[in-house]
Amino acid sequence: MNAAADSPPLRPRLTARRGIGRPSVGKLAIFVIFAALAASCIYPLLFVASTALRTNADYRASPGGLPSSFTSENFERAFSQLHIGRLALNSLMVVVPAVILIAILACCAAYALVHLEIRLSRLLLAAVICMMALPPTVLLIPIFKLVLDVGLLNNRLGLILVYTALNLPFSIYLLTAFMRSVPVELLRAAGIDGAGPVRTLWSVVLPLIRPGLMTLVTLNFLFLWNELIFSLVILQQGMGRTIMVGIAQFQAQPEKNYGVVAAGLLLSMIPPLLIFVFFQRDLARGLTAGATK
Amino acid sequence: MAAIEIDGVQKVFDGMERAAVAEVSLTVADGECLVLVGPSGCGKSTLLRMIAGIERVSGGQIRIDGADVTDREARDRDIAMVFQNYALYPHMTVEENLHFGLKIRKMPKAERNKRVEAVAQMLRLDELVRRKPGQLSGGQRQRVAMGRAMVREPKALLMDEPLSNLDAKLRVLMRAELARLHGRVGTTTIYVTHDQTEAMTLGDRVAVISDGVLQQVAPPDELYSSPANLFVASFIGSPSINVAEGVVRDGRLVFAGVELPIPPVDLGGRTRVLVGVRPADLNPFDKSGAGAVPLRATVEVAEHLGAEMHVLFPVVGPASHAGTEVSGDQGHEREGVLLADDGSSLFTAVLPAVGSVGPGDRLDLGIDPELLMFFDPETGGSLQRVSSTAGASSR
Amino acid sequence: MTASSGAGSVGPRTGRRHGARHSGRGLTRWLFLLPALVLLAVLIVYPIGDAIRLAFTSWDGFSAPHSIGLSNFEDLLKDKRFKESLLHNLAIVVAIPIWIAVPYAVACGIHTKVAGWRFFRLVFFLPVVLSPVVLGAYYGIVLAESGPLNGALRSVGLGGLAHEWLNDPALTLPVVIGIIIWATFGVGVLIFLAGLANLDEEIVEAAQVDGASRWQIQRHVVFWQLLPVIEFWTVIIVIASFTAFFPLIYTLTKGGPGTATFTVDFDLYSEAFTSGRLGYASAIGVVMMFIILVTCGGLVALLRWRRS
Repeated sequence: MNAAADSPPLRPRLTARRGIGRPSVGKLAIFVIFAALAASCIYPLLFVASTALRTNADYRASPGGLPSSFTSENFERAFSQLHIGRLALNSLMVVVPAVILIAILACCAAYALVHLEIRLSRLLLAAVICMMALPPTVLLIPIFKLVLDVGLLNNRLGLILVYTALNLPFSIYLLTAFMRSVPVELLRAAGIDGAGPVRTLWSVVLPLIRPGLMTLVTLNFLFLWNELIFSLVILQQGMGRTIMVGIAQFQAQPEKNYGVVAAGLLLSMIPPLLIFVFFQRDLARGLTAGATK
Repeated sequence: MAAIEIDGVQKVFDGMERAAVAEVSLTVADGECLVLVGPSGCGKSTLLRMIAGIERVSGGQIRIDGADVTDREARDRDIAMVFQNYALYPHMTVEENLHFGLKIRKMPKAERNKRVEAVAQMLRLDELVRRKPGQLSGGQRQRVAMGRAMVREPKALLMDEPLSNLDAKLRVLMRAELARLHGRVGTTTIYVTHDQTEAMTLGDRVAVISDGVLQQVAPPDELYSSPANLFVASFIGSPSINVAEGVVRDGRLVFAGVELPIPPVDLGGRTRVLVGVRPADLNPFDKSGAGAVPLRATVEVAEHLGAEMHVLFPVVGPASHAGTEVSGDQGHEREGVLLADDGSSLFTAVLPAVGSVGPGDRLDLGIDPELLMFFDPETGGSLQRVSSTAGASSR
Repeated sequence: MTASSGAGSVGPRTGRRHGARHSGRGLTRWLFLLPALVLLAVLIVYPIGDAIRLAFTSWDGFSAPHSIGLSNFEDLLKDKRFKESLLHNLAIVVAIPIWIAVPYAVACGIHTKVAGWRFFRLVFFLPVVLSPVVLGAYYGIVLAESGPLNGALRSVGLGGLAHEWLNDPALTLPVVIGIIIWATFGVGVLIFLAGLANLDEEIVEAAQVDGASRWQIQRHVVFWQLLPVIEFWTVIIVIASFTAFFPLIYTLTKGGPGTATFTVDFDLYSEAFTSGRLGYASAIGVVMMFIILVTCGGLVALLRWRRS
């Protein structure tokens, strides 16, 4: 609140005309609302962290308050009962290959669509955009049947391929925007220098769209790490489950231990939070792509 | 190094009725520098890009060093190209830019270094090799682009308006530099420009193109003195040639308000022709040759350029728009025919700067009938002199 | 001067037929596209067709599906839970104006550079990166009957406001919708901020010089310029309204209390993987696809029409 009072009025001209007071009251109101909203966004982290660090008895004494003593017991039990380590590893073994596969396929496809003068490129791009608008739930059952029929149910490869396909349309669309920013003349120059399409992609195009690729990888990692429904349906077996399935099923038990759930949640949040801290700008760029054009 | 033969090459873009390049045939000799010149949109860049292999031909054949390369990719033609905006790889240093083409062709490192060093030295890039293109000035980038093309020692060097992104002063400097480099390296070069001065100064021969059609290929001096048609006559030379209608009457030619004896030109029975005279061929009467006919000029505009001055004055007789009719190209950037207030044509004379001349002053100029050019009013084609057949070039 | 290697070795080709030229290159080009296209064809295009085919079958997931004609759709018409789910999705659609207004207002607030706006912009994005599973579990604990929220309300003497947030049929659906709006508004803020950054400031300044009030500027200048962005966000949330709820409902309410928070996507999952009626669930999917197609198409058409 102090900060609001201290901040200089943005447009002195207007302030003077409207009389003093009013704009700063408005700003104060905005600030208060924003502060409350911000608290609701930060509180989950604080709550989960504090609940994970205290005993169950302590939690029951004052659920929303601060812990009176700390314990690492919840974390130990998150590993022994929830098998959080195993779940995280499962997730990584699906998500990392899928993210890499998406990046490779999307790069090649976007490159071909934008720069290799393919006859049907406009039509194909339109089809890709239509696929983006398709809600994945609609595909849940036929994809389940397909995976079942080819014997990839409860197989990581099945989920990797499904994840790759589901995220490809968006990824191709995102990358075409970056591909277009590479001047055509550079590609021509590379061709004259003797580079074939593969070499041109590798030595000229990729270095130039690295920021776009970064955005794509972080965004896809986030999406897939957090994904639930396809993972739930395709990797049903106990020991292969991904982290979100494991947590969702664990916390659904009637006599769950809040501390252990919180410890699991906290650990599962680490990758998204790291991405949030280090790649916030990439995420923002990816999520707003296409909004203003 | 190699000769380049272009044989009936044609380009029709999808959905377009008219050909962007219409059956052009040309031969560039080994080591020659040929300049393709013409107004923007005339198809000269398209032709160059077809030679480079980045645009497909719709018909015809391109041979480099005797081998048919029509169906080959750009990378298999062993040519190098300098682009209008240089197209340097922004993520590579100058050095890496120079190395790239050689590395792809799997040249051993030692030889690569030798070549890059030599080229960097020749283009005075030694100091800049560790920089990236973003840290270079326009002229420096231009030199790197040249270097990248030269280091490969290609069979041919293609340049697409390489100087057009430089400011006027630098452009003149780089023009001289290019002439010097071509003199030293002697690679077969095809150079595209819309600037006729560049064309005249750089080309061993100049090919004038308009509307996708090759108008004339000739050495610069010949292009200037014996243009094949009105388009070439008005495109080449600055200021542009003066053109007005001439009428043949009683064995004499009436043109620009004066009566002249008819020079030995095959008029083919025409009584009306278009007559052109270069601004530099209009001299003060007392300094004109023996056969000169006086022309009294009332100055409308005088442009003093220091060593010389350009004098614009109206002449009697209908204005001729034939120059633009021949080109048929509305988008082309040269101004049309200058008109005086009353609609008669304005002539330009380039005179030595003597004293102060201003609007309303009267000047006595001389027209030498021997220096006049004659064109068919319908086709714009040049009418040949009867006596001297040597200079005339065929279309 | 020596010719570089490579080029010279290729012999001159004869017989130029222009139609067939560059065919080798064409193949390479398609090779770049092929892996992605094959994957999309197999795992997206084919399943769309298969979804429609399965909608006319009865399938338990073990034996082979057998065709039963239109009877799935006939059953859907009589299915109380499905109709209720549709109704809940309709409630979500009704909430869409809030879903647009909240991020819009917040973005405008940040755009005025309110004190600490950088911090707010960062923090508002935080829920976006968290999995709906995490949010579901978190709110499951916080909103529990004896959870921290009710505890806090009681401790400050507002015990009257304490509710069974997740167990009151009238309250739970609004709570779930509220959570989804809260969890996604960060994306909306970013999108609207991107739109505001592209705003033509000169028009705003011209309006100021003309003496327009802040509200008038907002209404007549900013809003109209942001309309395409609003349209973009609307299409996104319409699609999200049919698909974003599953993980939250799965972890938070399991559709309860009773069927109070069943949505179409949750119903689809339950029919398929709880009741084992995968053919029937496919029919739900087809209806859902149809609704989204019509809604989005109609929406885009409406917005286009209003703008022109």
